[in-house]
Amino acid sequence: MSAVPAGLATDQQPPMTVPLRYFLAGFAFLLAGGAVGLAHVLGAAPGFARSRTSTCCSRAGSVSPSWAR
Amino acid sequence: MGAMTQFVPVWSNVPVHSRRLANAALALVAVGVAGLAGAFLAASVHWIHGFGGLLVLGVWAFAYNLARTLPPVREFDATEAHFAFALACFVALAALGFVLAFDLSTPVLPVAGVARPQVVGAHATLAVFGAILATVFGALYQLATMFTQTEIAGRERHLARVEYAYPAGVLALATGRLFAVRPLAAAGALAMAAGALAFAVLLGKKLYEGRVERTPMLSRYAVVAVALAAWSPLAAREWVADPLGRDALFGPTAGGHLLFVGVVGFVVMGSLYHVVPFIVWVHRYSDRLGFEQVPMIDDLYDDRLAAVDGALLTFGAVTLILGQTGVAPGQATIAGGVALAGGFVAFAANLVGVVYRHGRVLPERFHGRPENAD
Repeated sequence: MSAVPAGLATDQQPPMTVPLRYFLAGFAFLLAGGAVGLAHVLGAAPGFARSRTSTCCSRAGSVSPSWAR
Repeated sequence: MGAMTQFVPVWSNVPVHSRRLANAALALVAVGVAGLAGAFLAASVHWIHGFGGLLVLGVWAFAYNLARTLPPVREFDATEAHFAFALACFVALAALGFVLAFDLSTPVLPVAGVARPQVVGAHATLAVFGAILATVFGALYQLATMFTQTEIAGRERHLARVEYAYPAGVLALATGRLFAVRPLAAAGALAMAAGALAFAVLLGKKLYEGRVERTPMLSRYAVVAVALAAWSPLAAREWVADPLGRDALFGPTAGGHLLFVGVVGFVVMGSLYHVVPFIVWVHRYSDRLGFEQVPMIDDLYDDRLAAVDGALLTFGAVTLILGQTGVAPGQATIAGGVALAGGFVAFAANLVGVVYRHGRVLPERFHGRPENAD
C-alpha cells in the first residue's frame, strides 16, 4: 500500500530544516501580500501599489540615484 | 524554492550541494523581496535597485546551489530535466526583472531596442510557465507514478516525448515576446499547449490505471489533469490569435482561475495533503512502528473534512469560471468565490488539525527535545 513509506532509513533523513525555513518565509510573505492586497482594495496602498493614474511614476523617473547613471 | 530544496536532494538521492548557500540564498531572497516590496510601496526607485540586486543574487545563489546538487546532464530523468529547465528560467527571469527595475530610473530598454511591455511579457512567461509550471510537471512525473504505483511505459513514452515540446515552447514564447517576433511566439505557444495537453493525458492515464486506494492527494491530482486538459486548447486558441497581447499573457482571460486555481492550486493542496501528514508521521510515529499500534499516514487527517473541502473547492472553481466566462449568470462568480474561500478554510483547518492533534507542538516547545534536527 502506498500509504506506508517503504525502506525508512532513520540515519538519512530528507532535508527538512532548510526547506522549512523557506516555507515559513513564504508564509510571512503570503500574509504581507494579503495585507497589501487588502489595502489596495480599500484604496489605502501607497507608492507603486496605487493605480497607475497617479503621478508616482513620472516623478519616480526624475529621482534616479547618482550611482545609477 | 523551498520545495525544490527538499525535492531535488530526495529524488536524486544526493545531499544538497551546500546548506550554507541554501540558507544564504533564503536570507538574500527574504531581505530582497521584503525590501523590494517596501521600495515599491514607498515609490523609492533608489531602494528598488538595491533590494532588487539582493533578490537577484539570492535567486542566482539558489539556482547555482541546486544546479550543483543535480546529477550530470546525461543522467537526467524527466523530473530532473524539468527541474533543470525551471532553474534556468529562474536565472533568466531574475535578470530580466532587474533590467525592468533598472529601467524605472535609467531608461536602458530603448538602447537595447525593446519596449518595456515586451520585457514584462517575457519575464512573466518565464516566471509562470518556466519556473512554476515546469517545476510542477517535474514533480508530478515523480508523484503521480509513485503514488499510483504505475510507471510510464510502452506507448506512453511517446506522450512523455511530446511533453518535451512544453519547455521548448516556453522558451520560444518567451523569446518571441521579448523581441516581439509574432510567428515565433505563436509557434512556441502552440508547442507549449500541445506539451501541456500531452502531460494532462499522461497524468489522467496514470491516475485511471492506478489500482490504489483513493486519497485526497490523488483526487486533487485528477482535478489538475482535467483543468490542464481544458486550459491548454483554450490557451492555444487565444495565443494563435494574439501571442503578444497583454490580455493573453497567461492564456484566455477567464482561464486565469483554471490555471492558477485548477492546476497550480490543486497540485499544491493535493501535495500538502500528503506532505504535512507524512512529516508529522515521521516525527511522531515512525520510531514506534513495530513496537505499538500506530496510525497510518492517511489516518491523521479527517477524511470527511477532506471530501468537503475538495467538493467546495472544485464546485467553487467551476462556478467562478463559468460565471466569468458568461456561461452562468453573474451571481455565480460571487457564489463560486464564497465556495472557494470556504474550501480554503476547511483545507487549512484539516491540515492544522493534523499538526495540532498529532504533531505534539506544545510538548516539544516545553521539552525542547532535538528530535526535529535533520
